[in-house]
Amino acid sequence: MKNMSNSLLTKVLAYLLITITALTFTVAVTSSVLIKTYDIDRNPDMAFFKSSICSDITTDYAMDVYNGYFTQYISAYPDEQALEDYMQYYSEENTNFFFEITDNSGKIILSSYTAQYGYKVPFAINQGGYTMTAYVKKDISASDDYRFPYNLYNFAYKTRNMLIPLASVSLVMTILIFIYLIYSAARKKEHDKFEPGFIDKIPFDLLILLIGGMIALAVLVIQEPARALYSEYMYEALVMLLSFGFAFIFLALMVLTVSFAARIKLKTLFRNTLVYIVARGIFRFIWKILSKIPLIWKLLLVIGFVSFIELILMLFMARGSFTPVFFWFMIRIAVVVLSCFAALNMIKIKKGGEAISLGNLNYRIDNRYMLNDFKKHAENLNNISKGMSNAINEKMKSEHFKSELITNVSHDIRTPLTSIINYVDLLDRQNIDDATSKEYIEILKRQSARLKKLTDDLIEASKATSGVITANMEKLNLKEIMNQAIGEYSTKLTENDIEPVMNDFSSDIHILADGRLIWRVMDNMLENICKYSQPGTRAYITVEQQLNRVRICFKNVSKYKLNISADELMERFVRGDSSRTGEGSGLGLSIAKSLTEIMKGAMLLEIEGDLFKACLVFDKA
Amino acid sequence: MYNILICDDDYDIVSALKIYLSSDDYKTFTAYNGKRAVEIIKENKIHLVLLDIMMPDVDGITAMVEIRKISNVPIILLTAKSEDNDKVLGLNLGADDYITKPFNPVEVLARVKSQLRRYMQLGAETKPKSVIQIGDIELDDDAKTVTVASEPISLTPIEFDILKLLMQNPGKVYSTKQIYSEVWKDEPYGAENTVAVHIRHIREKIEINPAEPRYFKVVWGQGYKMERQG
Repeated sequence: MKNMSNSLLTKVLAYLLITITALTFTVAVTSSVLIKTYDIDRNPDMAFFKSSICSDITTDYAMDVYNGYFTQYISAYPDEQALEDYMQYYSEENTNFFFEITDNSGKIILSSYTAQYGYKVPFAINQGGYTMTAYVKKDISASDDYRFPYNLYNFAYKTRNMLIPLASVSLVMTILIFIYLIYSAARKKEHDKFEPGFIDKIPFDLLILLIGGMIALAVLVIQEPARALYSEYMYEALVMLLSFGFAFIFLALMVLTVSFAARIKLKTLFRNTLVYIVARGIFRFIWKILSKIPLIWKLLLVIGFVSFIELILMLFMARGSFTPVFFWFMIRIAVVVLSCFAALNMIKIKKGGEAISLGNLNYRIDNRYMLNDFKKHAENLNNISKGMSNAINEKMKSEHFKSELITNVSHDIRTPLTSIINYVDLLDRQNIDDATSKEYIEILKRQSARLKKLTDDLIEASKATSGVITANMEKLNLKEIMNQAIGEYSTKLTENDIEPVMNDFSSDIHILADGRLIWRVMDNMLENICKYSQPGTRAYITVEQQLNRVRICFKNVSKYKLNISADELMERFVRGDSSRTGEGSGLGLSIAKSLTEIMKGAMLLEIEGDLFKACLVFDKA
Repeated sequence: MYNILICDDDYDIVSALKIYLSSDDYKTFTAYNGKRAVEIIKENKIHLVLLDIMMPDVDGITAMVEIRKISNVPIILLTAKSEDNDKVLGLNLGADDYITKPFNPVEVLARVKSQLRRYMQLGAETKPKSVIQIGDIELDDDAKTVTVASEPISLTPIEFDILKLLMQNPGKVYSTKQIYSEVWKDEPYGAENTVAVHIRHIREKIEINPAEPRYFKVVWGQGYKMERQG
């Protein structure tokens, strides 16, 4: 079932099929009922002739004959042409109906042909001394109004044994297809997930109205012609019309039912209704208005509304007695005063909460004039902010202590380091012939230089983060800075086989920064490029203007695999080369970031594969 | 033959400096605290003092104040502190130069030489008009030569022109654009960055420590200037 399920074509076919089976079922059941009602199965020969249809048709013919044909026939000046027509019309070839009209004496005055086997219809016109007897030809050989109903009766009789199985089979099929349709509702071929179809997206109440309207329209349209066809004995057309009508209405109801099932599966039965959507819109609108107006007005609005209703009820019930209204009024005033007081407390607490959540930890809520519970709440909030500000102070203190420690230790390291560097240099000046010793001295020289760089960076980093450095902000020409910085690094970039590429930007972009600090930042960025770029590649340095900021980006291809995140890279002592064999201290980016932040700028890092991108953002001056 | 006093509480540093200075034919005196340093200066003819700031008993700053009361001798401070305000304080109280620990011996020798030269030649001979002198840099426009501490420096014509421009107006800040149009006699059209490269090269040639220039300074975001000195 699953494979063939759910494609649009199968669904359409299913709808068609279920209409057909349902129609078949209805027809079969109707036929069975007819058979039972008219005893067709027990008396097949006579069933038709005894039926009301047969007598109705006969009556119609008889009336026509009596009022038209006979009246013309006995009139003094008969219309010969009309008589000729009647005669023709009621000939044996044209009709199964035949008759006799006799006078009181039993003498036949007018008669049509007489068939060998005829059924005398229990019907007589006895009027003005004439008696009319009507018959129907037994074999219904002529094609007139009797023909189709007669055939139908015969057909019903012939198929009487098939009707019950047919009804059962079509019922079973109808049910099966119905189950399939319900199952496949809101399912699409590719997905296991429920998904609304085109019809399921229409609001359900609207859909009911639409389908109800369509059915009503169909009934209206069918009604008149059906009645006309019925009275004209045009049963063939009538059956067709009714079948179409039935199919249409059934199909419409099926669509509605399937959509109902789909909505239950999608859980949108109530949500996707016009009533719900409109109600929600109104509710949201009211809610929006309520949330906009201040608390105290909200409160007064609600109290006012409730009071108004209460007052009307009171006036009705008090019936002129003043006392209860007075008491009610006093109580109401007390309630209003108390509520306003509570609301004022609440507003104060709200303000305090907002201030604290925005980071103003020195804010204290004044809780002197507060109701008991509010007082407690305000106190708790105050305690939270106090606790947090204490924690932050502690943290700042420890941070400061840490940076001081780093600075002191670094200073203490410098003095012995001076001796090391100097004596290594002195050793180097001795004329040592031994190649191995020379190599060792080289290593000592290199490593002591590195140690020196490390301590310098360490001091700088701790200064940059501890807030010792203050920026002396001035208006600086960005083009000048970039040219100067790249000029400073020209030799070093060439040595490392890196080609700097700067984009062309306006020479009158000015930024607000500290000249010396921004050089330290550029120094670190370019140092990074020299140290960590793949030799033989280009480094792109771009300046972009944004609305009131400027973005300076440095892009280069890393020499090492950058398998760490941008955030990690900005941490102190973290380096792109996890083996840490290079000459860097891992502090460059951290220093650059701190210094940039001191100048109210921002530094952003991006890593994509081996592409390293660092951007500095500064305010325009 | 100049007499140089080395004063530091760290014995190893003193002996290292002593070795370097002796090898350059200076006569050295040593002291391990400020008090002894002042005494030595009183007793001997000293031409230059290398003075550590952080020392027990009498520290470098106090010693320097004492020395300045009796002598005009050049003083180079040795400091482990790299904070700017320490340098400023030292220079304001009478120091002529400072060197940050850990120092490079070559740099120490260069600075000693530079200070001695200035001290000994102060107001000496008169120079011809075509010669501009700032600190120990001398630029002879006629001979197209530049010497730093009497050592000849080889500059390219462009570098020479840039240096001349800045030395003619010491203290004035020139933007790269101005330098370009003055030296190349042309509109820069985006070629200003070549100026920065040339300036870096000049600095490498005339400064003892190009990363911390004493004469040829970068004014970030504005341009370059020659420090007014002496």
